[in-house]
Amino acid sequence: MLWFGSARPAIESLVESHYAALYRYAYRLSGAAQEAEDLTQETFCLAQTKLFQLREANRAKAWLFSILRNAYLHKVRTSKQEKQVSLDSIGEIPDRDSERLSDIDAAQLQNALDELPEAFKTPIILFYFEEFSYKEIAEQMDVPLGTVMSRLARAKAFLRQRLTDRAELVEMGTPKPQASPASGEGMRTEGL
Amino acid sequence: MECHDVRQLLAFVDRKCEELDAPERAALAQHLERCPECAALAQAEREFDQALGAAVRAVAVPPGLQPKILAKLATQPRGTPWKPLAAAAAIFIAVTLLGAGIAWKLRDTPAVSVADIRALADQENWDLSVVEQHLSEQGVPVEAPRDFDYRNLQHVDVAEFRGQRVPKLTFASRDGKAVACVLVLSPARFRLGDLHDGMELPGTTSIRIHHDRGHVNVIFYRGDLGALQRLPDQ
Repeated sequence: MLWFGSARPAIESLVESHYAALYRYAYRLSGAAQEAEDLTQETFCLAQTKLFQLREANRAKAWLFSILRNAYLHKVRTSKQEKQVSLDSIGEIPDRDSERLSDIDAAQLQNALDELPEAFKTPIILFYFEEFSYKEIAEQMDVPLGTVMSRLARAKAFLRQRLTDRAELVEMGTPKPQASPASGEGMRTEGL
Repeated sequence: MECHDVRQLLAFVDRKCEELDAPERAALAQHLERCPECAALAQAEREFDQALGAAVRAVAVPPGLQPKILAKLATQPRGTPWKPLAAAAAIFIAVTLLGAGIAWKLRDTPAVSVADIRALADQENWDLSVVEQHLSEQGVPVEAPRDFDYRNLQHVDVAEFRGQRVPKLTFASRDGKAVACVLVLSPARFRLGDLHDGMELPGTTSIRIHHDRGHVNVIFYRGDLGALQRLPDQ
């Protein structure tokens, strides 16, 4: 399907099909409802101006997610607002155990996601959110497939640790201090 | 597949598995069937993925967001595909210019007609003097054979023969039935050995040897040699 020269109906169709998923993605990236709403709107505004670049209907979702991510990264770079902590505390990916994760608290999850650098957060959101394949995530992030797999494994281990630890601590009634740059952990976003 | 390998692949268990080929998927499934420890880990991984996936997706979308987006879009400029249009315009201009150039080039180029080809084919460009001049220019000045009809001349070459440069003239009749190759040899440089006039070689080739004004013309030919030669009154 070519939408060349007939943007208005197509953009409405795109909004209808993808606005909710994009909002959820934006929310998980930014961690804030208003920012997610702004990002979603900005994404569709940009998409409207670039709609002629989209030649294949089945690429629309990935295309829109990519626009949103770029808009988010632009905001992050402009405001330098991203909270980044190191994944060094995780070390190598630990051997899996069969420990089960019970119900995940939404706020805990968002806090844990917010601690992840974007390079790790995006793969995990795309992986769980819309079930993008590794290959699709690699294309969207413009990184090698192996990098996506590595980041995903480490981010997953990080989340598992954070969520499991906190679940245990909540049960014990003892809050655990969160990792932060101020706690001495440096920022590292590549080579993990 | 060993436990260590399987545990590296547990993330792929319930995915689209584009990254695993069919044998890998089969090996993974087979191992999980017979290894309770890995199967338990796979189940835990599956449950973790389900729980985390559900939690990640659990984001309430604000009511009224869709109409708000559409209203905002209505106030925004629509995209103009200026780049594709510019590219198309550039291609159009380039093609137009190219076409104009070709037309200009062809304007002064004469058309070739059948009559022209016939005239060229019948034209007697080659004659004895032209051949001798050409051979002289090639560094082998000789007197060309006088008894051939040069309208039948096909090639004039300078052949390497026993370390010497030797003129070689090829004649052929228009019907192609008679072909002759003439080597113009100097008796000072060559002796004929066992060659002699009127020899018949295996096949249909014959040899004639003509002594002509200080040169020896060795003629290998097939067909009617007379068809290639000029009449005495020509």
